[in-house]
Amino acid sequence: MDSSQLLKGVLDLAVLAVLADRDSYGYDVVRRLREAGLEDVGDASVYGTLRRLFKAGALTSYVVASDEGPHRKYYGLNDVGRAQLASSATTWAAFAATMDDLLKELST
Amino acid sequence: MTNSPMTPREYAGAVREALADLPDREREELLEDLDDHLSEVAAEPGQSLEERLGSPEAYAAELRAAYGGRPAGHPRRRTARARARTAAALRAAHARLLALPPYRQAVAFAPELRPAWWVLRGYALALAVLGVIGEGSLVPRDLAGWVFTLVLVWASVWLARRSRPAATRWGRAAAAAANVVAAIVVIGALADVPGRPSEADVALDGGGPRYAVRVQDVSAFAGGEVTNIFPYAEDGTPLHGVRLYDQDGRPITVDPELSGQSLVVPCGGEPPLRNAFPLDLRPMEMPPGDDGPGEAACATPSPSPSVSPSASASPSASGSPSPSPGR
Repeated sequence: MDSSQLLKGVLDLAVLAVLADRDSYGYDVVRRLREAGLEDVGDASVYGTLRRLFKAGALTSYVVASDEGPHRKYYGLNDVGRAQLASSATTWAAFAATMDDLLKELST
Repeated sequence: MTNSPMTPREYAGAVREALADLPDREREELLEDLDDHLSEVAAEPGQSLEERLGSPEAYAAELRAAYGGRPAGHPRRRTARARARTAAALRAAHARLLALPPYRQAVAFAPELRPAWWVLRGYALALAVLGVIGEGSLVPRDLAGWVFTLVLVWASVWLARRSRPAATRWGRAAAAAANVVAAIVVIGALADVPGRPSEADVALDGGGPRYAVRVQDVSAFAGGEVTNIFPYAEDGTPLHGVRLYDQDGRPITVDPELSGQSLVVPCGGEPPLRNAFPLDLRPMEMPPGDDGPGEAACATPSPSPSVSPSASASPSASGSPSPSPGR
Protein backbone atom coordinates (compact mmCIF):
# COMPACT_ATOMS: atom_id res chain seq x y z
CA MET A 1 0.00 0.00 0.00
CA ASP A 2 1.26 3.43 -0.88
CA SER A 3 1.79 5.12 2.47
CA SER A 4 2.02 8.55 0.88
CA GLN A 5 -1.73 8.39 0.26
CA LEU A 6 -2.33 7.63 3.93
CA LEU A 7 0.08 10.36 4.94
CA LYS A 8 -1.91 12.98 3.06
CA GLY A 9 -4.83 12.51 5.40
CA VAL A 10 -2.83 12.77 8.60
CA LEU A 11 -0.06 15.20 7.67
CA ASP A 12 -1.76 18.05 9.54
CA LEU A 13 -1.88 15.93 12.64
CA ALA A 14 1.75 14.82 12.23
CA VAL A 15 2.97 18.39 11.80
CA LEU A 16 0.95 19.60 14.78
CA ALA A 17 2.34 16.75 16.87
CA VAL A 18 5.93 17.61 15.96
CA LEU A 19 5.38 21.29 16.78
CA ALA A 20 3.67 20.42 20.06
CA ASP A 21 6.96 18.91 21.13
CA ARG A 22 8.89 22.09 20.36
CA ASP A 23 8.87 25.00 17.93
CA SER A 24 10.58 24.34 14.59
CA TYR A 25 11.35 25.90 11.26
CA GLY A 26 10.22 24.31 7.99
CA TYR A 27 13.14 22.14 7.12
CA ASP A 28 13.53 21.04 10.73
CA VAL A 29 9.91 19.81 10.70
CA VAL A 30 10.66 17.77 7.58
CA ARG A 31 13.72 16.27 9.19
CA ARG A 32 11.97 15.40 12.42
CA LEU A 33 9.05 13.77 10.61
CA ARG A 34 11.50 11.65 8.65
CA GLU A 35 13.44 10.74 11.74
CA ALA A 36 10.17 9.69 13.34
CA GLY A 37 9.68 7.19 10.54
CA LEU A 38 7.68 9.09 7.92
CA GLU A 39 10.42 8.78 5.32
CA ASP A 40 8.06 9.42 2.40
CA VAL A 41 7.02 12.84 3.58
CA GLY A 42 7.55 15.44 0.87
CA ASP A 43 9.30 18.72 1.53
CA ALA A 44 6.71 20.68 -0.40
CA SER A 45 3.87 18.94 1.44
CA VAL A 46 5.29 19.96 4.80
CA TYR A 47 5.99 23.50 3.69
CA GLY A 48 2.50 23.85 2.20
CA THR A 49 0.91 22.38 5.32
CA LEU A 50 2.79 24.78 7.58
CA ARG A 51 1.70 27.75 5.51
CA ARG A 52 -1.90 26.56 5.49
CA LEU A 53 -2.02 25.91 9.24
CA PHE A 54 -0.46 29.31 9.82
CA LYS A 55 -3.00 30.99 7.57
CA ALA A 56 -5.81 29.15 9.33
CA GLY A 57 -4.61 30.65 12.60
CA ALA A 58 -3.38 27.47 14.24
CA LEU A 59 0.29 28.49 14.43
CA THR A 60 2.38 31.36 15.61
CA SER A 61 5.56 32.24 13.79
CA TYR A 62 8.69 34.23 14.49
CA VAL A 63 11.91 34.76 12.64
CA VAL A 64 15.23 33.84 14.17
CA ALA A 65 18.32 35.35 12.60
CA SER A 66 21.17 32.97 12.14
CA ASP A 67 24.83 33.74 11.58
CA GLU A 68 25.81 31.08 9.11
CA GLY A 69 22.59 30.25 7.25
CA PRO A 70 19.43 32.00 6.11
CA HIS A 71 16.91 33.44 8.52
CA ARG A 72 14.69 30.79 9.97
CA LYS A 73 10.99 31.17 10.44
CA TYR A 74 9.97 29.17 13.46
CA TYR A 75 6.45 27.88 13.91
CA GLY A 76 4.75 26.98 17.16
CA LEU A 77 1.27 25.99 18.32
CA ASN A 78 -1.10 28.56 19.70
CA ASP A 79 -4.36 27.74 21.49
CA VAL A 80 -6.19 27.10 18.24
CA GLY A 81 -3.41 24.74 17.15
CA ARG A 82 -3.42 22.90 20.44
CA ALA A 83 -7.21 22.46 20.29
CA GLN A 84 -6.96 21.19 16.73
CA LEU A 85 -4.23 18.78 17.72
CA ALA A 86 -6.31 17.42 20.59
CA SER A 87 -9.43 16.86 18.49
CA SER A 88 -7.49 15.43 15.56
CA ALA A 89 -5.62 13.09 17.88
CA THR A 90 -8.91 11.80 19.28
CA THR A 91 -10.29 11.27 15.79
CA TRP A 92 -7.14 9.47 14.75
CA ALA A 93 -7.12 7.23 17.80
CA ALA A 94 -10.69 6.16 17.16
CA PHE A 95 -10.00 5.62 13.49
CA ALA A 96 -6.83 3.62 14.15
CA ALA A 97 -8.62 1.47 16.71
CA THR A 98 -11.41 0.76 14.23
CA MET A 99 -8.91 -0.24 11.58
CA ASP A 100 -7.02 -2.44 14.02
CA ASP A 101 -10.22 -4.24 14.98
CA LEU A 102 -11.14 -4.68 11.37
CA LEU A 103 -7.78 -6.20 10.52
CA LYS A 104 -7.75 -8.35 13.64
CA GLU A 105 -11.08 -9.89 12.61
CA LEU A 106 -9.61 -10.55 9.24
CA SER A 107 -6.60 -12.46 10.57
CA THR A 108 -8.48 -14.71 12.98
CA MET B 1 18.10 21.90 -17.19
CA THR B 2 20.38 19.37 -15.63
CA ASN B 3 23.63 20.89 -16.84
CA SER B 4 24.16 22.97 -13.74
CA PRO B 5 22.31 22.65 -10.43
CA MET B 6 19.71 25.33 -9.79
CA THR B 7 20.28 27.85 -7.06
CA PRO B 8 17.54 28.19 -4.42
CA ARG B 9 16.58 31.48 -6.01
CA GLU B 10 16.22 29.96 -9.48
CA TYR B 11 14.31 27.02 -8.10
CA ALA B 12 11.95 29.29 -6.16
CA GLY B 13 11.45 31.38 -9.29
CA ALA B 14 10.45 28.31 -11.28
CA VAL B 15 8.02 27.27 -8.53
CA ARG B 16 6.47 30.76 -8.54
CA GLU B 17 6.04 30.53 -12.26
CA ALA B 18 4.32 27.17 -11.99
CA LEU B 19 1.87 28.70 -9.51
CA ALA B 20 1.28 31.79 -11.59
CA ASP B 21 -2.43 31.02 -11.86
CA LEU B 22 -3.00 31.57 -8.15
CA PRO B 23 -4.15 35.04 -7.08
CA ASP B 24 -1.10 37.17 -6.29
CA ARG B 25 -1.88 37.68 -2.63
CA GLU B 26 -2.49 34.01 -2.03
CA ARG B 27 0.64 33.01 -3.86
CA GLU B 28 2.76 35.38 -1.83
CA GLU B 29 1.24 34.10 1.38
CA LEU B 30 2.16 30.60 0.37
CA LEU B 31 5.64 31.31 -0.97
CA GLU B 32 6.64 34.00 1.51
CA ASP B 33 9.65 32.19 2.91
CA LEU B 34 10.20 29.64 0.20
CA ASP B 35 13.59 31.18 -0.64
CA ASP B 36 14.84 30.81 2.92
CA HIS B 37 13.40 27.36 3.16
CA LEU B 38 15.08 26.25 -0.05
CA SER B 39 18.39 27.74 1.07
CA GLU B 40 18.07 25.57 4.13
CA VAL B 41 17.48 22.49 2.00
CA ALA B 42 20.35 23.41 -0.29
CA ALA B 43 22.69 23.86 2.67
CA GLU B 44 22.38 20.15 3.31
CA PRO B 45 25.47 18.64 1.72
CA GLY B 46 25.22 16.02 -0.98
CA GLN B 47 22.52 16.31 -3.58
CA SER B 48 21.35 19.25 -5.65
CA LEU B 49 17.97 20.81 -5.05
CA GLU B 50 16.45 19.00 -7.98
CA GLU B 51 17.80 15.65 -6.94
CA ARG B 52 16.42 16.17 -3.48
CA LEU B 53 13.08 17.78 -4.30
CA GLY B 54 12.31 16.80 -7.87
CA SER B 55 11.47 19.31 -10.59
CA PRO B 56 10.16 22.75 -9.58
CA GLU B 57 6.91 21.90 -11.37
CA ALA B 58 6.43 18.75 -9.32
CA TYR B 59 7.33 20.69 -6.19
CA ALA B 60 4.76 23.34 -7.07
CA ALA B 61 2.10 20.69 -7.64
CA GLU B 62 2.81 19.11 -4.26
CA LEU B 63 2.75 22.52 -2.63
CA ARG B 64 -0.54 23.30 -4.24
CA ALA B 65 -2.01 20.01 -3.05
CA ALA B 66 -0.80 20.48 0.51
CA TYR B 67 -1.94 24.08 0.64
CA GLY B 68 -5.17 23.29 -1.23
CA GLY B 69 -7.13 22.15 1.83
CA ARG B 70 -7.89 25.75 2.63
CA PRO B 71 -10.06 27.03 5.40
CA ALA B 72 -13.58 26.23 4.36
CA GLY B 73 -16.20 28.69 3.19
CA HIS B 74 -15.03 29.61 -0.27
CA PRO B 75 -17.45 27.97 -2.69
CA ARG B 76 -15.64 29.44 -5.67
CA ARG B 77 -12.45 27.77 -4.61
CA ARG B 78 -14.31 24.54 -4.19
CA THR B 79 -15.55 24.66 -7.77
CA ALA B 80 -12.01 25.49 -8.83
CA ARG B 81 -10.82 22.40 -7.04
CA ALA B 82 -13.51 20.27 -8.63
CA ARG B 83 -12.45 21.63 -11.98
CA ALA B 84 -8.83 20.86 -11.23
CA ARG B 85 -9.79 17.31 -10.30
CA THR B 86 -11.73 16.88 -13.55
CA ALA B 87 -8.81 18.26 -15.50
CA ALA B 88 -6.46 15.88 -13.71
CA ALA B 89 -8.70 12.93 -14.53
CA LEU B 90 -8.79 13.98 -18.19
CA ARG B 91 -5.03 14.36 -18.24
CA ALA B 92 -4.63 10.88 -16.76
CA ALA B 93 -6.96 9.38 -19.37
CA HIS B 94 -5.09 11.26 -22.07
CA ALA B 95 -1.76 9.94 -20.80
CA ARG B 96 -3.08 6.40 -20.76
CA LEU B 97 -4.50 6.70 -24.28
CA LEU B 98 -1.17 8.03 -25.53
CA ALA B 99 0.11 4.47 -25.21
CA LEU B 100 -2.00 3.61 -28.26
CA PRO B 101 -0.24 4.49 -31.54
CA PRO B 102 -3.42 5.52 -33.43
CA TYR B 103 -4.35 7.94 -30.65
CA ARG B 104 -0.82 9.31 -30.62
CA GLN B 105 -0.94 9.92 -34.35
CA ALA B 106 -4.34 11.55 -34.11
CA VAL B 107 -3.09 13.83 -31.35
CA ALA B 108 -0.08 14.81 -33.41
CA PHE B 109 -2.22 15.43 -36.47
CA ALA B 110 -5.07 17.30 -34.79
CA PRO B 111 -3.35 20.70 -34.51
CA GLU B 112 -2.91 20.79 -38.27
CA LEU B 113 -6.66 20.52 -38.69
CA ARG B 114 -7.30 23.56 -36.53
CA PRO B 115 -7.30 26.18 -39.31
CA ALA B 116 -9.76 24.05 -41.27
CA TRP B 117 -12.02 24.00 -38.25
CA TRP B 118 -11.79 27.80 -37.93
CA VAL B 119 -13.09 28.15 -41.48
CA LEU B 120 -15.71 25.45 -41.06
CA ARG B 121 -17.09 26.86 -37.84
CA GLY B 122 -17.42 30.35 -39.32
CA TYR B 123 -19.27 28.87 -42.25
CA ALA B 124 -21.48 26.79 -39.95
CA LEU B 125 -22.35 29.73 -37.74
CA ALA B 126 -23.25 31.80 -40.81
CA LEU B 127 -25.51 29.02 -42.05
CA ALA B 128 -27.11 28.76 -38.63
CA VAL B 129 -27.89 32.48 -38.62
CA LEU B 130 -29.13 32.42 -42.22
CA GLY B 131 -31.24 29.37 -41.35
CA VAL B 132 -32.87 31.26 -38.49
CA ILE B 133 -33.61 34.19 -40.79
CA GLY B 134 -35.31 31.78 -43.15
CA GLU B 135 -32.80 30.60 -45.67
CA GLY B 136 -32.33 27.00 -44.66
CA SER B 137 -29.75 25.55 -47.02
CA LEU B 138 -26.22 24.26 -47.10
CA VAL B 139 -25.04 27.05 -49.37
CA PRO B 140 -25.89 30.74 -49.10
CA ARG B 141 -28.55 31.58 -51.67
CA ASP B 142 -27.61 35.10 -52.63
CA LEU B 143 -24.83 37.62 -52.64
CA ALA B 144 -25.75 39.04 -49.24
CA GLY B 145 -25.69 35.54 -47.81
CA TRP B 146 -22.26 34.91 -49.26
CA VAL B 147 -20.88 38.18 -47.98
CA PHE B 148 -22.27 37.48 -44.54
CA THR B 149 -20.80 33.98 -44.59
CA LEU B 150 -17.37 35.16 -45.71
CA VAL B 151 -17.34 37.83 -43.03
CA LEU B 152 -18.09 35.25 -40.35
CA VAL B 153 -15.42 32.90 -41.70
CA TRP B 154 -12.91 35.72 -41.66
CA ALA B 155 -13.95 36.71 -38.13
CA SER B 156 -13.64 33.13 -36.94
CA VAL B 157 -10.11 32.81 -38.28
CA TRP B 158 -9.13 36.24 -37.00
CA LEU B 159 -10.41 35.47 -33.51
CA ALA B 160 -8.68 32.11 -33.44
CA ARG B 161 -5.35 33.60 -34.45
CA ARG B 162 -5.65 36.53 -32.10
CA SER B 163 -6.79 34.82 -28.92
CA ARG B 164 -3.84 32.48 -28.72
CA PRO B 165 -2.45 33.82 -25.44
CA ALA B 166 -5.17 33.20 -22.89
CA ALA B 167 -8.02 35.59 -23.48
CA THR B 168 -10.33 36.71 -20.72
CA ARG B 169 -12.48 34.18 -18.96
CA TRP B 170 -15.67 35.35 -20.61
CA GLY B 171 -13.98 35.48 -23.96
CA ARG B 172 -12.93 31.88 -23.58
CA ALA B 173 -16.41 30.87 -22.47
CA ALA B 174 -17.99 32.63 -25.46
CA ALA B 175 -15.51 31.01 -27.83
CA ALA B 176 -16.24 27.61 -26.34
CA ALA B 177 -19.99 28.18 -26.74
CA ALA B 178 -19.52 29.28 -30.36
CA ASN B 179 -17.48 26.18 -31.04
CA VAL B 180 -20.17 23.95 -29.57
CA VAL B 181 -22.90 25.65 -31.63
CA ALA B 182 -20.80 25.32 -34.77
CA ALA B 183 -20.13 21.66 -34.07
CA ILE B 184 -23.84 21.00 -33.60
CA VAL B 185 -24.67 22.83 -36.83
CA VAL B 186 -22.04 20.88 -38.76
CA ILE B 187 -23.24 17.56 -37.41
CA GLY B 188 -26.85 18.54 -38.00
CA ALA B 189 -26.11 19.58 -41.57
CA LEU B 190 -24.29 16.33 -42.25
CA ALA B 191 -27.20 14.33 -40.89
CA ASP B 192 -29.64 16.38 -42.94
CA VAL B 193 -28.04 16.08 -46.36
CA PRO B 194 -29.72 12.92 -47.67
CA GLY B 195 -33.20 14.12 -46.73
CA ARG B 196 -32.85 17.61 -48.07
CA PRO B 197 -33.52 17.49 -51.81
CA SER B 198 -36.83 15.73 -51.36
CA GLU B 199 -40.26 17.20 -51.84
CA ALA B 200 -40.13 19.57 -54.74
CA ASP B 201 -38.01 17.51 -57.06
CA VAL B 202 -40.35 14.84 -58.26
CA ALA B 203 -44.02 15.29 -58.62
CA LEU B 204 -46.59 12.66 -59.30
CA ASP B 205 -49.29 13.39 -61.79
CA GLY B 206 -52.56 12.15 -60.41
CA GLY B 207 -54.40 12.52 -63.69
CA GLY B 208 -57.51 14.55 -64.29
CA PRO B 209 -56.99 18.12 -63.34
CA ARG B 210 -53.30 18.28 -62.96
CA TYR B 211 -51.96 18.42 -59.50
CA ALA B 212 -48.73 17.36 -58.01
CA VAL B 213 -48.42 14.80 -55.25
CA ARG B 214 -45.23 15.47 -53.40
CA VAL B 215 -43.03 12.49 -52.85
CA GLN B 216 -41.22 12.53 -49.57
CA ASP B 217 -38.27 10.34 -50.36
CA VAL B 218 -36.76 10.52 -53.79
CA SER B 219 -33.43 8.92 -53.07
CA ALA B 220 -34.23 6.51 -55.88
CA PHE B 221 -34.10 9.48 -58.22
CA ALA B 222 -30.57 10.45 -57.36
CA GLY B 223 -31.58 13.33 -55.20
CA GLY B 224 -34.00 14.83 -57.66
CA GLU B 225 -31.53 15.33 -60.44
CA VAL B 226 -33.34 13.01 -62.82
CA THR B 227 -35.04 14.97 -65.56
CA ASN B 228 -35.70 12.19 -68.01
CA ILE B 229 -35.75 8.37 -68.10
CA PHE B 230 -34.56 6.21 -70.95
CA PRO B 231 -35.92 2.67 -70.74
CA TYR B 232 -34.25 -0.17 -72.61
CA ALA B 233 -35.46 -3.69 -73.24
CA GLU B 234 -33.49 -6.68 -72.09
CA ASP B 235 -31.79 -7.03 -75.48
CA GLY B 236 -30.70 -3.40 -75.52
CA THR B 237 -33.42 -2.01 -77.71
CA PRO B 238 -34.42 1.48 -76.63
CA LEU B 239 -38.09 1.63 -75.71
CA HIS B 240 -40.45 4.48 -76.37
CA GLY B 241 -43.57 5.66 -74.68
CA VAL B 242 -42.99 3.55 -71.62
CA ARG B 243 -45.43 4.64 -68.96
CA LEU B 244 -44.32 4.49 -65.40
CA TYR B 245 -46.53 4.22 -62.34
CA ASP B 246 -45.78 3.83 -58.72
CA GLN B 247 -47.18 1.16 -56.38
CA ASP B 248 -50.41 3.11 -55.99
CA GLY B 249 -50.99 3.48 -59.68
CA ARG B 250 -49.98 7.12 -59.76
CA PRO B 251 -47.98 8.18 -62.80
CA ILE B 252 -44.35 8.86 -62.03
CA THR B 253 -43.15 12.11 -63.49
CA VAL B 254 -39.99 14.12 -63.38
CA ASP B 255 -39.44 17.83 -63.58
CA PRO B 256 -37.46 18.60 -66.74
CA GLU B 257 -38.26 22.25 -66.17
CA LEU B 258 -35.76 22.23 -63.32
CA SER B 259 -32.97 21.78 -65.81
CA GLY B 260 -34.35 24.32 -68.22
CA GLN B 261 -36.12 21.93 -70.55
CA SER B 262 -39.72 21.54 -71.47
CA LEU B 263 -41.86 18.94 -73.13
CA VAL B 264 -42.24 19.22 -76.86
CA VAL B 265 -45.90 19.58 -77.67
CA PRO B 266 -46.59 18.11 -81.12
CA CYS B 267 -48.27 20.49 -83.48
CA GLY B 268 -51.97 20.00 -83.44
CA GLY B 269 -51.73 16.78 -81.49
CA GLU B 270 -52.66 15.92 -77.99
CA PRO B 271 -50.42 17.16 -75.22
CA PRO B 272 -47.94 14.39 -74.43
CA LEU B 273 -48.24 12.24 -71.35
CA ARG B 274 -45.85 13.36 -68.70
CA ASN B 275 -45.16 9.84 -67.59
CA ALA B 276 -44.40 8.33 -70.99
CA PHE B 277 -40.64 7.94 -71.13
CA PRO B 278 -38.32 8.96 -72.59
CA LEU B 279 -39.82 12.41 -72.63
CA ASP B 280 -39.40 14.46 -75.74
CA LEU B 281 -37.61 17.50 -74.39
CA ARG B 282 -36.16 20.67 -75.72
CA PRO B 283 -34.52 23.68 -74.11
CA MET B 284 -37.14 25.94 -72.62
CA GLU B 285 -35.61 29.23 -73.68
CA MET B 286 -35.84 28.37 -77.35
CA PRO B 287 -38.50 30.55 -78.89
CA PRO B 288 -41.17 28.53 -80.62
CA GLY B 289 -40.48 30.28 -83.89
CA ASP B 290 -37.20 28.46 -84.32
CA ASP B 291 -38.86 25.27 -85.37
CA GLY B 292 -40.48 26.81 -88.37
CA PRO B 293 -43.29 29.21 -89.00
CA GLY B 294 -46.01 26.59 -89.34
CA GLU B 295 -45.32 24.90 -86.09
CA ALA B 296 -44.90 28.13 -84.25
CA ALA B 297 -48.45 29.01 -85.10
CA CYS B 298 -49.94 25.91 -83.63
CA ALA B 299 -47.50 25.18 -80.86
CA THR B 300 -49.02 27.59 -78.43
CA PRO B 301 -48.65 25.69 -75.24
CA SER B 302 -51.63 26.16 -73.03
CA PRO B 303 -50.58 27.77 -69.77
CA SER B 304 -51.44 24.66 -67.87
CA PRO B 305 -51.39 21.65 -70.12
CA SER B 306 -54.18 19.69 -68.61
CA VAL B 307 -52.77 16.25 -68.96
CA SER B 308 -55.53 13.74 -68.79
CA PRO B 309 -54.28 10.22 -68.94
CA SER B 310 -57.08 8.12 -70.31
CA ALA B 311 -58.13 4.87 -68.76
CA SER B 312 -55.92 3.13 -71.29
CA ALA B 313 -52.92 4.47 -69.50
CA SER B 314 -53.44 1.82 -66.89
CA PRO B 315 -50.34 -0.35 -66.72
CA SER B 316 -52.26 -3.33 -65.52
CA ALA B 317 -55.68 -4.34 -64.38
CA SER B 318 -54.80 -3.74 -60.79
CA GLY B 319 -52.91 -0.54 -61.03
CA SER B 320 -55.54 1.76 -62.36
CA PRO B 321 -54.31 5.33 -62.40
CA SER B 322 -57.63 6.53 -61.20
CA PRO B 323 -57.53 9.96 -59.69
CA SER B 324 -57.05 8.76 -56.20
CA PRO B 325 -54.98 11.47 -54.63
CA GLY B 326 -53.48 9.31 -52.00
CA ARG B 327 -50.41 10.74 -50.47
